[in-house]
Amino acid sequence: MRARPILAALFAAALLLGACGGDDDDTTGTEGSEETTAPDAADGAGATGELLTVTPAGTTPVDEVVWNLSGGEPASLDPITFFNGSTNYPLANMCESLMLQNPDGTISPGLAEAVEQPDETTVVFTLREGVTFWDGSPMTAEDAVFSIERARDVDFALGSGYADVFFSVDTIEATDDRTVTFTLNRPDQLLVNRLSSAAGVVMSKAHADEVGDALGTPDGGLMCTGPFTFGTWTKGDSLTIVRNDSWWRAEEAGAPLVEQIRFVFVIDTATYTAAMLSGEIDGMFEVDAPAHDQLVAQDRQIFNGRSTLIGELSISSFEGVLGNADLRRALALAVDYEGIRQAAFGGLGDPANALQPPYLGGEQAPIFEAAYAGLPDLVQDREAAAELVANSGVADPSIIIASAAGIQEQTTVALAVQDAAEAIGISAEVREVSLDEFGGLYVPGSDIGKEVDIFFLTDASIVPDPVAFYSYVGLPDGFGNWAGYVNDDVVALLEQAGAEPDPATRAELATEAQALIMEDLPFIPLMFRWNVTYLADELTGVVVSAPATIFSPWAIDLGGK
Amino acid sequence: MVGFVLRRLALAALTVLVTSFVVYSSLYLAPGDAITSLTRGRPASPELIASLREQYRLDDPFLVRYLSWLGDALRGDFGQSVAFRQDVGGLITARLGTTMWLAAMASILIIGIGLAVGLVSALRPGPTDSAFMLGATVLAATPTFVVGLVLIWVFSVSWGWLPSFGSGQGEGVVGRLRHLTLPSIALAVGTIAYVARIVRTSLRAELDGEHTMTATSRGLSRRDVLRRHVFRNAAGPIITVSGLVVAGLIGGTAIVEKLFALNGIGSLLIDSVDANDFPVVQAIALIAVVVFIIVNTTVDVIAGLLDPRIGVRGGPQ
Repeated sequence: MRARPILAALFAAALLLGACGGDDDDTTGTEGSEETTAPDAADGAGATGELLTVTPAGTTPVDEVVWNLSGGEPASLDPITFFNGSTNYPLANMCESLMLQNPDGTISPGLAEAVEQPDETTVVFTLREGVTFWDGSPMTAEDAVFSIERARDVDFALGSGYADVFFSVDTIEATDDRTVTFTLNRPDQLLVNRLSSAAGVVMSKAHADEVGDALGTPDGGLMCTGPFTFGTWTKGDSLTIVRNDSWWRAEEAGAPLVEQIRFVFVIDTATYTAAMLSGEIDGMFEVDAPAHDQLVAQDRQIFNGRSTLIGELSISSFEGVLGNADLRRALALAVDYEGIRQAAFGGLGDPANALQPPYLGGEQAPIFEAAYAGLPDLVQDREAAAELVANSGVADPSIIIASAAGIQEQTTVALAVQDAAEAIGISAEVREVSLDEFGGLYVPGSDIGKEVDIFFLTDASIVPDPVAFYSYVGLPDGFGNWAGYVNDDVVALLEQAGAEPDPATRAELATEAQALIMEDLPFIPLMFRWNVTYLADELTGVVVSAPATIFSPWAIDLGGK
Repeated sequence: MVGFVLRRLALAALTVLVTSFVVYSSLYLAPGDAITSLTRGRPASPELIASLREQYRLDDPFLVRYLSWLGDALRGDFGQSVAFRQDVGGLITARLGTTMWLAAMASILIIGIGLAVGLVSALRPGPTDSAFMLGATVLAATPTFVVGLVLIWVFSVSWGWLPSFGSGQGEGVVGRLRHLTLPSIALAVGTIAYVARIVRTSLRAELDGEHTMTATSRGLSRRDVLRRHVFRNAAGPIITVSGLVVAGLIGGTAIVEKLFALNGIGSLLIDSVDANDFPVVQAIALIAVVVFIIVNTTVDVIAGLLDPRIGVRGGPQ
């Protein structure tokens, strides 16, 4: 009995240490901006071809769906919490934003019915008429200004995860009951789309004032406009959201078929797999590899959705030894991409030659796809890598790889990177750090960032648009640029893109920045991760593309087959 | 006897005080920057940092911080959780129920089955004893999470009898029992063997004792010998060990709570350590210690009542 796990471990190790990367099978979904729906009765498992955006709409009502949050209980449902599955999967069905992300990656007006830009530095949102909060009070421009000022968090007093969205904003004013006017300090064409994330959520000011610090906690709850209302939150146990029967969009989008969704917080893979097999859990996003394999073996419904998730190695500080471009390139040549993709992620993703998959960008996707095809493949070539190290001018280079303690994929990737580095003459040490210390790596100039050199993370874009993601990592004040990466050409291109009103030109500029960033390699992409989604056999109709699942109502069409 | 009880209580209070100091200072010395934890890694204005430093008393000298924390804790105020931005007291009370249920159900299993197995093994030497002790040893050597996984696969997935996760909070007593049966078995299994062994050994020692042989040779019935001479004398060590085991359960539920996704204080403790949520860690550690000491003191007093010699020995020399 004992032999099996040991064999499995050896097998995984063999994959990791395999001398040469596997062939580069191209499995990227290449559809443009059309919706890709799972064919009826197909489980979409092992989808090597197309990645999905939605599953066929449900047809019969359901009393309750139990949805698992594998990240555990939300620390808070306050919309300005830095985005994470636990907070945002429930929140996305409760709170709506000025703009709306559609499953196919396009963005359309949400709580705002119109957006106008009378000049380069003025953006005017006209709010929809007749939208009410769950308590029946009307949504006004005052609520919008209040909510968005919280997300903007000028003095970083609230710790908003979206403050960087608003760096171009001077003032936000309610010009009348239904009009919100943004005055900018520089042209910013990314702002409107970024307000499709939780940065653009509108909640009731009266409710927020009433509950004060308890906003978004089990005691204070929320007051928004979305298709589900905040029901009950039993601390540590479950969070239930209930259908909003007077949802303003019900006529156009259809009222939800599900009476209530109960979110549970099962973190352990073995436990949630068992609970899915026994029928106690009906659905979950971000299913991990061991669970995926068991569910597929039992012939359960698994869908591989599109996402902006990128598994990548991040340089922690450009002041360290990996500030040297040759060493970064050498490391990128030494990594066993295929081995990591299989051993750490069970193959649930596509090879990546850039930081965002090319099918994003809505109508501009063809531009990104063409540019992506021109990027050099990231493949393993340890001889060339060793040569780069030898000629880098750095004597006896050594690096420290940070790994978050207790997380299997962190350990697996860290060991693979250590193996890669040592094979090409860079001595490498893996340092296990606590989750809390690991969080410090995302802070520019942190001590831990300077102590170590490189770490693995999965990042994601809050909008399905590569321009936004490259600005987030490539501009000096972007929240994704913790390492202090500065390339003046990249900055100039991204600033130009940010000011460019024409979407096609903007996309072209971003692809130029993308090419330079991939030469500089402040991040070494390992894999475009899929949004692997489990849904009980009798259910259908859930959105499966991220970040639509993170910021838009994804359970409106969820129901029985 | 009253003096003995009072001395025990004074000792317990002193232990709590010393432990509270150890708990507080160990977290004070632990690595990690409190401000990074407090700001969740996002940029923060100097005003925000200053107000956080004040709220969590980061600038006060250590002793001042400790004393004001202790003073607040005595009034039931453990401050604000860093990760959840809620009162620590509220976070813990919401979860204490589950852990108490779990510990109580596991205690009943441990003491009930442990006593029964130990008793039968002691009184039926030979194949029965060997089989029981072998079984107990195998179970004791099996890690808790393995036991838990097997239970989930058999009773939840294969047979569908009991839920595989969740604490049954808000579902009444039946809901609690249904949800916590598998976790309490998983929690109890390893310790049942331990208690059974102690029971068996204590009973054997008494059975082989001279006073038992004398009583038997004087023609007392086996029933009277067992009741008056064996059980009563063996009770002391058994109660002491059972008390220690039960008291230890409060702090030892973390693995089971994680596996079965229960909202107890054990899983909260693990999450809080990961997140460097020091106010929560301090509070749970203190509560676990206090519960341990209360149970332990109670057991000491009961053992003292059963065996008056303990009170004499425990007195000032």
